[in-house]
Amino acid sequence: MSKKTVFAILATIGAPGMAFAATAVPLGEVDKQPLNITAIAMFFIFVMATLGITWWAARHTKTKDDFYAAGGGIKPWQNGTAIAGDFMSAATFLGITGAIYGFGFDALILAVGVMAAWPVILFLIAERLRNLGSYTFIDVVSYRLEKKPIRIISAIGSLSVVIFYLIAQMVGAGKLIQLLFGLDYVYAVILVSFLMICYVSFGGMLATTWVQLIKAILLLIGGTFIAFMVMKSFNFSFEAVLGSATKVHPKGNAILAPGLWMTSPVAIISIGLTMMFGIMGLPHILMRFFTVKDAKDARKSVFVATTLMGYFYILIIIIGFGAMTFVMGNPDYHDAVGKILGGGNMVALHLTHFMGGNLMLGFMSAVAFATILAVVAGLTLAGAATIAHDLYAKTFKTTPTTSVEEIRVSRIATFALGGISVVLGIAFEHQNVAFVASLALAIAASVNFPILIMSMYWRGMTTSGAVAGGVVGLVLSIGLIILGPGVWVSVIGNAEPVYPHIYPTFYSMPLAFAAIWLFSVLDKSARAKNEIARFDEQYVRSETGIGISGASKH
Amino acid sequence: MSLPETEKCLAHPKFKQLVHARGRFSFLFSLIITAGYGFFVLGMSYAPRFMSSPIQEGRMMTYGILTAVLVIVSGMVCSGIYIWWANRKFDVLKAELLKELGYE
Repeated sequence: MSKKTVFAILATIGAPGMAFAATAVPLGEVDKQPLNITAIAMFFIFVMATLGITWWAARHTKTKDDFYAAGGGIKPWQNGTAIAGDFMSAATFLGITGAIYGFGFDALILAVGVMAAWPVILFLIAERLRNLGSYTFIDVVSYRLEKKPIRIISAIGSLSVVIFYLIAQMVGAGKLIQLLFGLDYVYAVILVSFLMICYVSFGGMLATTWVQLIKAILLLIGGTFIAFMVMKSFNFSFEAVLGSATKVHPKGNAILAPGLWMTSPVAIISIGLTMMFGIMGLPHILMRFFTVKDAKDARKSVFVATTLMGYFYILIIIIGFGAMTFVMGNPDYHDAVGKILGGGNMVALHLTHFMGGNLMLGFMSAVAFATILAVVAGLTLAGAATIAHDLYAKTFKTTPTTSVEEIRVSRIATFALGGISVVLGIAFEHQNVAFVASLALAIAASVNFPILIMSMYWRGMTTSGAVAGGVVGLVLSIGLIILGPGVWVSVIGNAEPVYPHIYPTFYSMPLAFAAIWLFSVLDKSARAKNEIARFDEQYVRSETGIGISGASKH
Repeated sequence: MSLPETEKCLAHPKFKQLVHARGRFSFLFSLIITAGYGFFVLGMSYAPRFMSSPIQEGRMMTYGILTAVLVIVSGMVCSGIYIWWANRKFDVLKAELLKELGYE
């Protein structure tokens, strides 16, 4: 097969979610090449298996409870694995490995940030979220506040995250499938969108969960194999892995120290905040806590997810540093002028090829693609639930909705999101999508997270405060990204960014919290007093689960 | 849930015990994780020389990489301890509380 083209395409998948836009190659034209038969065979098996699951899941999806939350009947280990599958995206595997390969130590913040977020989700959020909500995190924030304004602002935050993430994944997926099947980019994007609509609209949460679960296991198997081979080459000494890396890497010992990627404290702290708190505000992740039967199972699933991800990130660190020895300076993986084929994000796949040959490379390429399908399915389901449940049923519809009606609206929303992602996927074909995905995490950290955590823990929060905080977080996070290097320089073409950092979170998140506090304290209305008075009831329910109905009846 | 029920639960000694114990536990663990992560992020920002020094003369492993690995491992360990504790203590206490309040 033509490795060069495969890597050029796969490079685009690694880009989403990560801030190292500079290392991602521009998305060039794709030559249709002889195909990688292993990759295609694996991919077909995966698609057939998942469509089979969708068919099975569709027969078990009758009520809105089934649709949004798989009837609350997912087991903790299944949900935990699916959460890990949702989270360990292609961006993680390809992107973080590539960043470690390029910058060494600095890139570890991407892995460490994730592993700092998950335990805190377990300690502070998971159980209380499960006790308070039924399908989305917006149920929780609107528990004691005025439904309409709070649902609208949270839904805007939620849908922005979903759409920006979708674009990033869509472009990568389109490029990959275009290469593997020789399809035109446009048809490739349509195909991805079609599969995603199938999974979500017919199989709902049940099908989405199984797609994520299977893909998580495949990714863990692949990652374990590569990391094992690296360690084996060094007689299982990590010290030797690092030692060899410093000899090969042009920066030498500097790869073991901070400073190659970022030196400004504001930049480092911004990315630190974005990683840790953005994760706590991702709607498709928070939604997964409602698929289990109670708070206890939510707790267990986060533990399973945290353990799997901790293991995976340790593999990633080994793979990243190990790749320096085997890929750097290896003429097989570099072009005539010495540039790495496909750019920095392809390092993990070069290493896969080195360790396991074309067969393993085909396997991992198919897994990368499966990963994208699983992630877009989860995102679309979260978007559809926000539209049908939070906006349609709970905000704009004045009469009560039936389950059938809500599922119908969800399916329409799924088709709409599928359509939107095709259009935007085509529009963004030639854009560097890294900043789009960083926008998603930054919005999650600046809008969803502050509202969610304050609604659960601060008695004094009122509707005015929550809405003000949401608006401040949204405007600042989007505004600063537009003024930053990702848009102001790369897209608009100005010489210098107005805001020098990629992530806006250093300013946008604390100011969102400040706005929540200020406008809550200033609100002396009767409504605010009532909202504060209802905190006790919410508090009792969040701690004990007394008063739960809906999704927990099984 | 009506207001009297809320009041009754809030006033129950087992509820207080439960909330107090769990609040302390989750706060302490969150603090451990956040402190570790904060140390990593702030060390990277303001003490890069410390982060780049090897943990032992002649070793490749630096304090920075060690911190990264420790934060990841402590995340898994703290989650494990929390789960173990919650399954054994918190759930038992909660079941007793619900029974005494007449919910089960």
